[in-house]
Amino acid sequence: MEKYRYLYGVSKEVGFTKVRIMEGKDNNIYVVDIRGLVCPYTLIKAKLALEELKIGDILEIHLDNIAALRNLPTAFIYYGQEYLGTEAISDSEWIIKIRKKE
Amino acid sequence: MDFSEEQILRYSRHILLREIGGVGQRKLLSSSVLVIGAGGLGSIVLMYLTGFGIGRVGFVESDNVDLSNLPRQILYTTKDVGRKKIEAAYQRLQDMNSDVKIDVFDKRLNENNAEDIFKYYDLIVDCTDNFESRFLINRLSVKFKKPLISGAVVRFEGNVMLVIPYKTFCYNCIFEEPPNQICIETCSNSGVFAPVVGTIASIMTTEAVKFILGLQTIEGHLLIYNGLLAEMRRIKVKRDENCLVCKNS
Repeated sequence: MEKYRYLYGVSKEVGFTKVRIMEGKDNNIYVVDIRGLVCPYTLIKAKLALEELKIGDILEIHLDNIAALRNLPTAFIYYGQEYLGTEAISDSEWIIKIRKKE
Repeated sequence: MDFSEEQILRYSRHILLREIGGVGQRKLLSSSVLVIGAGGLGSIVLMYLTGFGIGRVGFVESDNVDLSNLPRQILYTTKDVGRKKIEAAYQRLQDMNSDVKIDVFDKRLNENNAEDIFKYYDLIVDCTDNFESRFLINRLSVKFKKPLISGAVVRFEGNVMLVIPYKTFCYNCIFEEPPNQICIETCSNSGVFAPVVGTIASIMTTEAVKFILGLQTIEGHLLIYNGLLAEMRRIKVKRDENCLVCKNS
């Protein structure tokens, strides 16, 4: 089942706070769209989104910033989360997958 | 509580910290701290608490700004000399961050008014400059079971402690009574090195935040910093079973 919700309030810039949820049996997959953001707001928005999730849930971070593409996996590993991989969806857009561990 | 975009930007550097994050920042915004004394220590403690968004910050102060205050009491400017500290401080703090509700108490704390002031706050921070006030604030914090952060500086040396009533040692467990009036050392007659006041105030603020967030604090220790030697020591202190202030739990 697929639905949408806002993870932390309805902001003016709806584009990147709107999160798509794919409900699973044990854990859900959330997609946060941070396209158009630059560092450090890429990380801030992604981190805030991850905080709202339950342990075991997966956050898919949809981004288009090259610096964030390199930095986000390292940052989330430092935060104690599990980095599951990065998927290129075009030559300028990627999805970083993080599983919430703490 | 949801953050506004402005709040996300304002508090972003704390939100990025693993130990704080959005969760911790929300907790800070919904907590309350009372600062007693808006002098050297109080200036810095108040500015940090306000700056990073403690939801409600109160302070007790009845003095006016004096020219001799300015080197270390960085809340105030030369234009404020002669003004009530509460007025100058309130204005400056409110300008720093309007997310914070600032309460001012234009009075000296005493046995009679303490309960009415303390009841609004989760944590007390003692930023006074004399022994008499420290003993009084310690006694009142224990009486009303309010956690207390107490700090002091003289010359180049300062100390910090966190008192959790009936759990850790209190001020009175270490210092039994105010020292003899003749040998008493205060900033006004011994001198004080301004940046050391800043160091101690920063440690006090750090401990306050860690206490609110449930992170590990200096609980059970007395922390001593010497600016001349660039040395910091942490001494483990136990409760005094015969302490006249906190022996009955």
